[in-house]
Amino acid sequence: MTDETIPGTDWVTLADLPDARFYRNQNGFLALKAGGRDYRRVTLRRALPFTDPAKYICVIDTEEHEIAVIEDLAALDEDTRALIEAELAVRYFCPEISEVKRIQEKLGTYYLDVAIGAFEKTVAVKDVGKNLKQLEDGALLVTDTDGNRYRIADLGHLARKNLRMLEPYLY
Amino acid sequence: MPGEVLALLEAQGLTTVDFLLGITGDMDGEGCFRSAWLAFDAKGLYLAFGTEALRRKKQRGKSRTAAVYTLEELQTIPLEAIAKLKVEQYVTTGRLIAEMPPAGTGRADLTGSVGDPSGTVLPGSDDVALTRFSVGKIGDFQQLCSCFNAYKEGRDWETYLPAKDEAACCPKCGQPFPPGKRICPACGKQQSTVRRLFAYFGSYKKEMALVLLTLLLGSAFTVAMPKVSTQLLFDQVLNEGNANPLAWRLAALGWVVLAAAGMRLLDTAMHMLYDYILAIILPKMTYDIKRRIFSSMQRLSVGFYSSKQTGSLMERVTRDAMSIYLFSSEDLPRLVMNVVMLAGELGLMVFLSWKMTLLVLSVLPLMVLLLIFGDRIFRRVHHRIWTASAKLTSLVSDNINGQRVIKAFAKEPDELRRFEGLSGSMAGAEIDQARTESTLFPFITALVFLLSMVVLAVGGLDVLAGKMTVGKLLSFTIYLTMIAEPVDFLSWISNHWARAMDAAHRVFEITDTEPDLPEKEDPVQLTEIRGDVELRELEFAYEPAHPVIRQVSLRVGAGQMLGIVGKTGAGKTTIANLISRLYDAKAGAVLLDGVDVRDLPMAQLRRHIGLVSQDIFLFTGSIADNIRYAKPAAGMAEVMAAAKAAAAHNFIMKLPDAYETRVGSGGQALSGGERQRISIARAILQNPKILILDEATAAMDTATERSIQASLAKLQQGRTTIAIAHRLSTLRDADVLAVIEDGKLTEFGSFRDLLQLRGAFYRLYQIQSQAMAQMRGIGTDGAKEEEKEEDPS
Repeated sequence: MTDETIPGTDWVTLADLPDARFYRNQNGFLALKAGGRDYRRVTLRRALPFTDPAKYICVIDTEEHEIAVIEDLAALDEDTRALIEAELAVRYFCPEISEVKRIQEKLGTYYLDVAIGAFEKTVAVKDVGKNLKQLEDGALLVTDTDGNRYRIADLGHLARKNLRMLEPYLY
Repeated sequence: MPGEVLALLEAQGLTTVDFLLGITGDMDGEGCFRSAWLAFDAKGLYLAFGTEALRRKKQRGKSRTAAVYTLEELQTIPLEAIAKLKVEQYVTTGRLIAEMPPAGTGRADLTGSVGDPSGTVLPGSDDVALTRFSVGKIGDFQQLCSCFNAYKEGRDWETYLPAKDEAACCPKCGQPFPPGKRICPACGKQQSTVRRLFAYFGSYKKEMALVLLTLLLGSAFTVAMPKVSTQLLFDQVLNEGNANPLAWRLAALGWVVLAAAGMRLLDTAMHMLYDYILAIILPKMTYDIKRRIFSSMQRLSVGFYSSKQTGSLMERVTRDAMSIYLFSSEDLPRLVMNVVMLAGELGLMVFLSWKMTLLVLSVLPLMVLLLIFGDRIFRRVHHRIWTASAKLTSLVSDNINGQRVIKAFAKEPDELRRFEGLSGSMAGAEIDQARTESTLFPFITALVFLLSMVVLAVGGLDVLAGKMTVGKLLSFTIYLTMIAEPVDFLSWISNHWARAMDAAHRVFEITDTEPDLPEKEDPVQLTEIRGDVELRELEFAYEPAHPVIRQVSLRVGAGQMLGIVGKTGAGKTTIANLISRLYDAKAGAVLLDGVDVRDLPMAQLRRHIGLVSQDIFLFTGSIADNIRYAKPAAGMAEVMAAAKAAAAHNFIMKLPDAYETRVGSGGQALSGGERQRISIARAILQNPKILILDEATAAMDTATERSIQASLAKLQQGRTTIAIAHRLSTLRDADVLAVIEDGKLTEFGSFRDLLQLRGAFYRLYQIQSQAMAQMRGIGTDGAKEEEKEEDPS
């Protein structure tokens, strides 16, 4: 219980690869040169997508091997960070719901008429106990029947009318 | 052994003070029920048979029942005539058997028929049956055997004597408690349950007093209503021949109406007030009860949980607390209110006309009788509905859980038929209830109506004769209809009362259960745990008389790896449970760094022992939380490192929500191997000095198992590992191996030693290597799962 890290694990952080350099390949995909190797395409995955999206991001090659872990985005230089954030935004695409206009129930499916910025959309949600998920930071994650995800950044800042409408479905 | 029996034995010329151990049996050698007493001393073993009868005796003026003993038969077997005592167990009985010493040494004392004429002694041919006993006595008999054998061999026999449990009897009545409980079923029942239930109200004395006050006031207003609104109205205001002027009469009318309205308002206000206060107290009280049950449950051992049905425990936390809540919130106040109202109404009726009250009271018994009769029918019908609904619920739950099996055997129509049958009988019971209701209640209503007609007739005569006013008569008939309600209520409240008391009793049963793994009062505090594990003559049985571990002694040095192999059901998991003190040994001890685990503080022990068991439980929550369970303060870097060591990191990162994927009931479904890896990560993060892996890698493919073994090997420095496995490949790194067969340690040593022994381990090794040789060329174990692993999602 005393030692901070567990011995004997192959824990490679980005700092362990001093020559690591992210770049976009000719087709616009994220790539990485590190340890004398050129990974022509890499994937990024967050270990904590909800609570700490800027920390512990795993860099994985096309063979599903982990190359390194980015411990903290904030520690990176600005260009790299921008590259990585852009890539993460693609993987973790999640539109922001700005307003809930109406909620209707039909045979166990809830239809949420929402506004995403200027765009309006109806989101069908089943099993609201599981798919309207409140996150620790006050955000609400909405998963529709197809598995698409939407976010309401801050429930507290939602208009009162919106919140009243949502409240019966939050667990 | 009872003192009277000792006296009888003294009379036979035995010196009972020299008895080393005496026990009581209940059968003779033929299996007939009979009192038996067995004892041994330095000279021999004594078997006495006789009777025991209960007689009423006068003692100090009080009549008491006491046992009277007679001795019918006494057998004495010299100590030399017995080599060893042992117990054989049958389904419901057992037999005490004496193993005789080799031929020639006094065996003729027992029977003349033993011995093999050919001269060779077959195993078991030296056994002589002594007596039988019912299976409940087996513990005592086994103890007799252990003590006797130890004494005979000159070992310290006193260690086998049971620890005297002084507090095992109810202090009130002196009766022994049922095993594992600390409430006397005779004294602990009804009355104290009521008192203890009310004790929960104790912390709300002020509020309760207020509730009572408002209840009484409210009832008083209700009772007084007809007196004002009817009698006053008719007799003082509306009566003919009233000499007062019209204006006075109008004003009086107004006053009466206002007074009636005011009283009704006050009544409502009182009701609201008491409802309001109760609504505040009761949820708090229920919370308190639930919390108490839950915290009591946390103290109890694994053994307690496996002996109780999950359903029955959950019911106690939720439903029983709820029925206590309902009784306290609904029935109790109404009980008080109705008693008060009945008394008040009857009193006012007597005041109005004692003659007519007597008339009513004469009919009242009939009504009570009718209600009791109806109550009986209802109880029967209710019970039928309840059992039908319980069966229906369990059918549906079975059906949902067993869908795979039902589908696999195409049993859907049969299931539907079963459902229809049960559902139909429930519908039948409900129809019965409705029928009884619609027959009985109109009947009672009609009776009340008839009664009021009779009262009207009798009272009318009085009014005509000028003995009574119209208002009095009218208010009397109103009171008559009013008493029907409390009478009705009081007739069925007993039912609810019984239900609530039953629930309260079950709740107290839990809160009163003593933990069966007591923490020592002044535990030994080890500053540092090295990880030496020693089992010393360990014995254990989950149920008395079914030993699972017998006389196991072994030692693992700190930092070593012990592998335990053995057949299914040999007792391997039990050893793991005993080391981590999920159960306590029945005899012998588990020593950690030379200290008995029972002498160590439970928290320290559990912190230093990591157990990855066969059945993995993941709590509802994220994967990270599950890994972090033993060390909530662990940072994410540690969690990920532990997951990597357990070869779990890669599959976790493939899940869309990675470490924040919800698992547990209703969460992401994980495969058996994935769950095992999470639980290994949990144990690794705990970083215990002793790691017990009970078939921890059984559900994994060989490649994953290897990779976990590799990381565990790195972790093993300074850590004792105890691994239980069927696959010998899992144990290839073990320093020492133990083979457990039927609860006994049969082989112990290094891999090489055991192979050279050419015993059970060697056979197992051969079987597995042959199987591997046969498979060579076909493919490797778990290849399919690996394919799935490699498939990018």
